[in-house]
Amino acid sequence: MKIKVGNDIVQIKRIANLKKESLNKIFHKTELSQSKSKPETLAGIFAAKEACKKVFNNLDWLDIEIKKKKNGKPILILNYQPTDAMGHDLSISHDGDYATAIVVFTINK
Amino acid sequence: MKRDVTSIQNLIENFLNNNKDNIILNQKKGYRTFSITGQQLSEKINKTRIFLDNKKIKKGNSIIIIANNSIEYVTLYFSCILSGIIVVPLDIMADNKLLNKIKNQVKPKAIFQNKDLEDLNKKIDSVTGHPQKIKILPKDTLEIIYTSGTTSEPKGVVLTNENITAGLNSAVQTIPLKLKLKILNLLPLSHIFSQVFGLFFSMYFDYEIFLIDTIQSRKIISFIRNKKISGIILVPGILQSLKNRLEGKSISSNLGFQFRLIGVGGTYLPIELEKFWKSKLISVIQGYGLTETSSIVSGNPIISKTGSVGKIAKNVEVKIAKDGEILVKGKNVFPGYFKDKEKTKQTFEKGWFKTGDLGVIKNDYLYLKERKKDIIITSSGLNVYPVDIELVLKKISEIKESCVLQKDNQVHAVLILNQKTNPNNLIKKANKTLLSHQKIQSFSIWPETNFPQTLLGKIKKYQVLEKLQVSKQKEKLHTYQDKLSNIVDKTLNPSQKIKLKSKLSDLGMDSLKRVELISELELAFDTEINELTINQYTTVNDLQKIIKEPEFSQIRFKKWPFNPIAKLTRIIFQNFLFDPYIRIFNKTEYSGAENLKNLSISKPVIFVSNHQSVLDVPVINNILKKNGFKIAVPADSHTIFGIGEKPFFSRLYIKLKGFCTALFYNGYPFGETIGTDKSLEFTGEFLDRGYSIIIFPEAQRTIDGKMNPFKPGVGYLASNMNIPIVPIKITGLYKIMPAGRYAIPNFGKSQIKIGKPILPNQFEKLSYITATRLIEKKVREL
Repeated sequence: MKIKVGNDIVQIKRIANLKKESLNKIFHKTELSQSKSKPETLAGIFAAKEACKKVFNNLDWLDIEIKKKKNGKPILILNYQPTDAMGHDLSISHDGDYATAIVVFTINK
Repeated sequence: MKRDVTSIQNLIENFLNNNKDNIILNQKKGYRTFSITGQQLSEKINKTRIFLDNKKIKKGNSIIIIANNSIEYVTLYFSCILSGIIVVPLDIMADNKLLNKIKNQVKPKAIFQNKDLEDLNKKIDSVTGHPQKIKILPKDTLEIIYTSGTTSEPKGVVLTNENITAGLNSAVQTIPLKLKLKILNLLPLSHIFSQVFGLFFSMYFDYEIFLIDTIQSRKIISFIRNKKISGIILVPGILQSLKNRLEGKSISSNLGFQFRLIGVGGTYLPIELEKFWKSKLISVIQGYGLTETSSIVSGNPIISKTGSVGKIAKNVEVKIAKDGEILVKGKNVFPGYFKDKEKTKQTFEKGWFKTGDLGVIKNDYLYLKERKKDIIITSSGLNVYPVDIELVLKKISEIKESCVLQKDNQVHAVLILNQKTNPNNLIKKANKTLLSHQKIQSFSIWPETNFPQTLLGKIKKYQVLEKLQVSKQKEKLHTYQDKLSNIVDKTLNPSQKIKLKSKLSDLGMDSLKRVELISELELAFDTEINELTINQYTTVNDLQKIIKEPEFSQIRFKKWPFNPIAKLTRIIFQNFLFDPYIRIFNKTEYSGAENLKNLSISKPVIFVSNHQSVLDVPVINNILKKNGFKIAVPADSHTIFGIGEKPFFSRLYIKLKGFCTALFYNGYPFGETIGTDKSLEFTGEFLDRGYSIIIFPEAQRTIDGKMNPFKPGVGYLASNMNIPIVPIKITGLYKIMPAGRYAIPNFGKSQIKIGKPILPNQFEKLSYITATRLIEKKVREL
């Protein structure tokens, strides 16, 4: 078993400045409505997606969906399971001007 | 000749009554077009009127509407007219500052934005009863339309029922077009021109009206062709972008032979543009009018005079003042500005309304010389008031004087500078504070020290523009860089200078900026860009190639499969050849057919099935046919239709395959090689025509009977098409006709199970990933 990890950090202001067209390219409508389009939440989701893309570079923004459990813990849903990936987990955080995320994949190899 | 309209209320009621079962209004929304009959609209209006009444919004009260064109907009607008509620329609771009000023003036009972209109449409469902008949007098106000800029005090033009009725009656007599037309109204319904011609005029002649949610020319063009639109109503800006896209191409194959009419208004129409369309045998009807005159002062008949804004309209008096100003009198002329006696007094002279425009009358035809009313209308129909931009430029100390005008369809600034400086930076600075539709797109430096002025010190913009056009050949104009590098500059904001060879990553592109860049490019160049084509090695030069029209954008929706001969061939082949032949080898057991009975047949659905063999479609179609469904099948644009296939002979073979799929089972291209947009457009088109879709989301046939994971396209369809999804499971067919086998199947038995439909509201709260999962689960569970 191998472990792969990806992380990302983003300035919240940059997400707040995005136009509707760009938002729709990055986020699912469910992500936009669930976060009530709050920039800090969206920035966290963005960072999580970017972190996933760093692990599997053939993933598209909309191949990744970030949802929240009732207790606030984010969960990752992928459009299709990348080859050999057994399990994954992620964590998102934000403070002040920045949001950050880290994802871990376990690979069957 | 049809008789005059006695009131707008009468017109609306008669129109709805005469067209109870006819489709009168259509609206493109996303990839679907929704239609409504007279009866349906009339019910919606009744419910809305009761709803408004319950909310204590009554005759004489006012409401503000700031929304995009939609069936809901028309419903609310008509409801208010019938109930005597004063409508205040605002441009969708109106900002909060302007909205607040207007709110203070008119004190509306409610404000309706897009979301509110959608909600209203849901809320009225439960309303019952019949609205009271409200007596409406000619002098009662119908609406107040605001025509002033963002920096000055807003000016509300009060229009009474009598004004609009008179304007309409003049219009129908001046431009009698008693044909059965399908009219696409591209102008925002907040404009008088859009209301009078796009609605009332069209209703008077019983046209079918179409609204659309986009101003992208590629989408407008395919809409006109697919929906057999005969005429459009628009501003010159959009007409220019349609021309740009169609120049050098066949007009009739892109727009269809039925397309014959263009109604233009709102602002100055360049003669070359008019001549271009006329040379294609499309009639361009230009008129002249203002909000203050309930749209029409003059209009061209169907055989129009090029360059003229038409004959003086019936029942409208026009006179040219000594200084050349056009003066208008008639019942269509407004009584005054809302709560502004001073301005009203200034605009009238002995009962004549001063238009502020200069013109001459030759043989009953009016020719405009200059529009004094300083206004630019953008291609999307939004108003830009040059004075707003000039005020911003005035604050920049390096600029001595400036004037803003419309040139080549762009907001263009002409500058006189105080000192030698880089004007690019000045424009950049100004654009930062301007609203997105006000931004300066090009500029030039005025060669003299002063602008030509009138005695009163007003700049003669007409002369400025004339001079700019003449000097064009002599000296190169400073266009504000070129469009592409302008966008790259704006989105990436690089520290270094942009060259053709510069890599985007060196210019500061990261993954977020890439998304922004793609969105901006798609908007500016009206195209669809695959994100994967742009990476850190892409140069500005590569970008130029990428944004060039992709090959697939030329592919149009094929109409021949709807031809009666094609339909007959399809029936014969299906019923007398394929079905009997398959029946020799295969016995299918169907179950769940009762689930089909609950679906109303007139409404199409999407059938989703696992994929076992080439026999899947005929075998499923068998049961659907018996239940009254017509079907169409999306098929891979590359492997079935040969799109993007290069070698000639293999392409020919594949094209034959595509032809047969289309002929026998209404196959149509779908998938990556033609892009998401086209795939969904074609799907929507079949659905609009009442065809249901059978889709196999595994995208490949099974080898061992096990189901492959579903591709997300199906979830995308489910969340975009807003119709029920019916899961179907096939077992056993893969043994009868294994993948790779042709012509002669094995003998055997198979089962088809039809599941309960998944209704569209179940997808509302799902992303398309989770929607795909849900559908996959339902199919597996069968």
